[in-house]
Amino acid sequence: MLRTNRSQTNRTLVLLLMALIALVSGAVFLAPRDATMGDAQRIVYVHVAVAWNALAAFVVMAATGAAYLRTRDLKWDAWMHAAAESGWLCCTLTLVSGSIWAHEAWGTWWTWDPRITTVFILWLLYSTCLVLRGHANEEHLRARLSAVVAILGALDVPLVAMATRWFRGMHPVAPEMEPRMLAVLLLSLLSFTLFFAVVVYCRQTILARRITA
Amino acid sequence: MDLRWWWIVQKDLATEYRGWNTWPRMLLLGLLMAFLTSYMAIASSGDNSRTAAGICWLTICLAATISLSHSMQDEQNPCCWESLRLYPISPSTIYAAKLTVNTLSLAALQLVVIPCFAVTTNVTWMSHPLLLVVVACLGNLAINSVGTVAAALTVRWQSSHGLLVLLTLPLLIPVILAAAESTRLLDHAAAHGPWRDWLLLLTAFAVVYLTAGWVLFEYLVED
Repeated sequence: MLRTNRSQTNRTLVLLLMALIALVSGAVFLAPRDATMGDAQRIVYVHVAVAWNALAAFVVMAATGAAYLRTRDLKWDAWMHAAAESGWLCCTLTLVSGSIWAHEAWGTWWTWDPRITTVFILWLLYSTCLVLRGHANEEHLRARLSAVVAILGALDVPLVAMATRWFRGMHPVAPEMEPRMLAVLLLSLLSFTLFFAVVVYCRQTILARRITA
Repeated sequence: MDLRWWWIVQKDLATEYRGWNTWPRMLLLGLLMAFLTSYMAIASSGDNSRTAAGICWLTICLAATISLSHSMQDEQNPCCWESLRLYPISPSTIYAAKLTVNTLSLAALQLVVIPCFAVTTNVTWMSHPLLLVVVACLGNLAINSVGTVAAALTVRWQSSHGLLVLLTLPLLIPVILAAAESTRLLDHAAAHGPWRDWLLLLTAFAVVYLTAGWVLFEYLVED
């Protein structure tokens, strides 16, 4: 029974991943070429989507962390763990894709721009959460630790979102886009969000099963 | 010495490989320190005042972990924590008491460390004593609000060594940056401009961390 569920989950994930790759690559080639940056601008379609998911996953972590502290139900910890893992992945992809874009646009792999700095802080918070989880033997202590990091660390989310406006950085803020480019960006955002939502759901199902086993 | 030393090396490496107890923590702490020091030293590009302010606040933050850890460690003696919980007070009151002690300890440290840094690095922070006190108090409050919660959490952990630093430092990075920038820009303190922005950010973190610590502490000491 367990094996059937797991293979079904894997099949769903593989199908979704293939659909995502097809959708994004199709969308990327449909989008018009940027006049200034050329093909390098296409990184934006992935960068913005993974960055959005990294922020959303931290909000999910904070909300489920608060729910765990109120109810002491470990199912919320499973959600928190799943969101932390996919959020960490999204945050890493954000930094990597952003770095490649920065190299093309600004001629440097890294700069201490307020938004890049705050995203790196977010990545450190994700890493801390995962490292600490790995060291706590007792499951409720592990859940409490993650909840505290998630709730207190959630303060970084508005900082990331508003960094460029508040601290006048170099990072572009909602640049003007051609309607076709905007459509591709929205499509990419939607598909990545859907994909990571399914990943988090599947992962939490596996983790929740481990708790009840 | 024969090849038996290699068996022990192999055993220790295998233990680490199976448990991943030390390396991830070391890597994370290394990354945190690299991030903070490079931001302060390299990003300042020769700005002596920024480097001094950054290292000063990093020093304060790391030194604070000693008093934070100690304040909760004492309660670990047999029955101390249980006795404290039996005392007819709310967990928030325990938090307020611990926070007060930690704040006072750190204030004493700041009284020595900040002038020392100002004198040895030739910066002009001391010519604005009132504003410097405001920045120091806000930084102190933000560090201890999070630190007290983190200390209460990690103290009951079997291998709590180094975990307090690992738990507090990522949460305190924005506080360290805001406090360092507010200290550095004291010469340009004005009702408008970057100094005000950084001070507002520091105030926001102090207030939110204090409120969150107050609320969360109750849930952390429940059992």
